[in-house]
Amino acid sequence: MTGSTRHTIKPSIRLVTRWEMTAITIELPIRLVRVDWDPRLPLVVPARESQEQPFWRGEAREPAPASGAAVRMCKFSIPGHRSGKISDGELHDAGTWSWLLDQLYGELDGGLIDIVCLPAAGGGREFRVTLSAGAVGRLHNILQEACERFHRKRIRVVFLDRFAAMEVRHP
Amino acid sequence: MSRLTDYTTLSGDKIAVSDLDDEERLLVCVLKRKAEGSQDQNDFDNFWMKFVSEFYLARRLTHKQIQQTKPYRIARDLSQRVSIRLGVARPPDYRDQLAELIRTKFISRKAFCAATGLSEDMISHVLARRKHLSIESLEQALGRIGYTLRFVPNSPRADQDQERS
Repeated sequence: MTGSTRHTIKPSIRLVTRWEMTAITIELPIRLVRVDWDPRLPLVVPARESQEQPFWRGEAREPAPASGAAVRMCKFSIPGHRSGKISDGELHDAGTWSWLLDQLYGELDGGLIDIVCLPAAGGGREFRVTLSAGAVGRLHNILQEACERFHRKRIRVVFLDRFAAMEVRHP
Repeated sequence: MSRLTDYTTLSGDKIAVSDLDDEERLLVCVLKRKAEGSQDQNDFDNFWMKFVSEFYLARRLTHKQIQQTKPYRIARDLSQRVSIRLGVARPPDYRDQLAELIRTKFISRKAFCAATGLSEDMISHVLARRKHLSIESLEQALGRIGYTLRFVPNSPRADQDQERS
């Protein structure tokens, strides 16, 4: 029988209590689908201008992680307004969004591979971040402070390259 | 290339562009033009971050170093202006600055209140945007910790008016 493979699916679902990790991890022991993708590629086609021949000399090189280093892709959303329960429900000020971009760009230096902003429901914004596995802790710290600055109780981070999520709470 | 004038940020800081090289000036021009026509905050942010990043990575700068460059700071400010123009963010006011001051210069809100003489209750209301501080009490409180209020231009028009007079 060529071209077909028998897979036995034995999913192991582990619910971690919020006292432990505040996360739900679903682990599949076998890989069902092989997806050939390069995590360093941007998730969205860049704006037209950036596809044109650059006017500057030299070649841009993103600080790629060392070969063999694990790469994580994740996304998280932040609503356009502060929480109405713990705050006033008003729009965020422009500087707070800039602060977040600054943090993601600068504080993940060396660990950040790509970042893409997308619109989210209710006027919010979704951030898709590709980073080295070693930078996940730093991302957690940034989002912990983001909870305070954006007046949110929690921010949920979903890892796109594995069935896992992480919930960051206001410290 | 059109004459590039010094840039004034939303917080009133001036960014001199005279020391930028030709490529950097062109970069700033492209960013400004893109910001003017932008109708989507995310589009603009995706554009400028990639554009500025590629520009300086080609010059072998790290992300941290790129953040210190003038075009990055200009692009960051343009992003804020775009978000305000499109109504997806509000302009910062003194309460945001106050919150930033407490966050960066004091261990806690309590420590700030002890230093300024303002009540914790009042600060809580002000930062939650339920109440305002009077100019007099704000000036007094800031004076106790070595700060003061000032007027700053927040648009190129204000700068031009100043030059004219």
